[in-house]
Amino acid sequence: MRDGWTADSNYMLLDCGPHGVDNCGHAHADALAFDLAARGRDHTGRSGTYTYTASQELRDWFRSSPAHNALTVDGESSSVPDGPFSWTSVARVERRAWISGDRFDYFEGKHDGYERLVPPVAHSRAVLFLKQDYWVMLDRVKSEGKHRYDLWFHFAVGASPALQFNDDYGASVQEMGDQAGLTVSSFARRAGWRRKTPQSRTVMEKERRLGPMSFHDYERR
Amino acid sequence: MTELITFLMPQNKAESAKGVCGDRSNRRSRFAVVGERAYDIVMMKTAADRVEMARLSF
Repeated sequence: MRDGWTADSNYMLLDCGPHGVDNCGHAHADALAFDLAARGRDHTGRSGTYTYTASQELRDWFRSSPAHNALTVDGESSSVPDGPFSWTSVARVERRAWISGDRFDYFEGKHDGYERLVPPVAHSRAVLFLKQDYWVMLDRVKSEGKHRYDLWFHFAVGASPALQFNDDYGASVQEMGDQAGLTVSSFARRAGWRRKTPQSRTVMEKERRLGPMSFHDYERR
Repeated sequence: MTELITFLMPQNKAESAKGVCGDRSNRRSRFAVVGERAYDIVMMKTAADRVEMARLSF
């Protein structure tokens, strides 16, 4: 996704390709992970490879899902490494939607990497990019059981991200570069949450004003 | 089903300078409750000590 080819263009790359070829020896557990440049400046990216054989621990860390801008379930990777160049479990990804227009790009994909867990978890990621403005990313995780979900954001070398808390926007991570910055704001919502208590409805009303609900409206059409 | 919604908003330096009250140190954890939502946010560096990272848990 990009809105131009100039020095201050916005850009996002989403990984929705096969895990690798043959034994996937150089693959990473980066299903549906993203890289992002805002206004021409790299803000989030991958951690790299670091080492192939010097340390099995570091080899596995740098190709793990937490080392990428990805969602993890219970701290697990979407694909499970075996030896330095092999895997015991490989996530299969599927692109469900790709629309590219003058005003926006829209992507949606899913993978089955967490369906090996007990109970299984289905994960899909959708991204709406309003060109010249911002991205809205929606991660859906569905399971019959309780799990912990982590969203990982890796900032570029030299970045100095700051935490920010706001009654309306919840938790944000803000990275201010010399010329261009990036604010990452995440919200969690569970289906049926609105029906639990009057207080929950109040919170949802706040969120509706912020914009995420308009994203859902777009998706239904 | 759980939905995690993330805004990624590019900003000019002048825009982003307003209202920042964050913790810029590394390896610090802060737990926050906003409304009924709870966030466990950890800022740390990777093992290679090169890349800043944020993890938002739900």
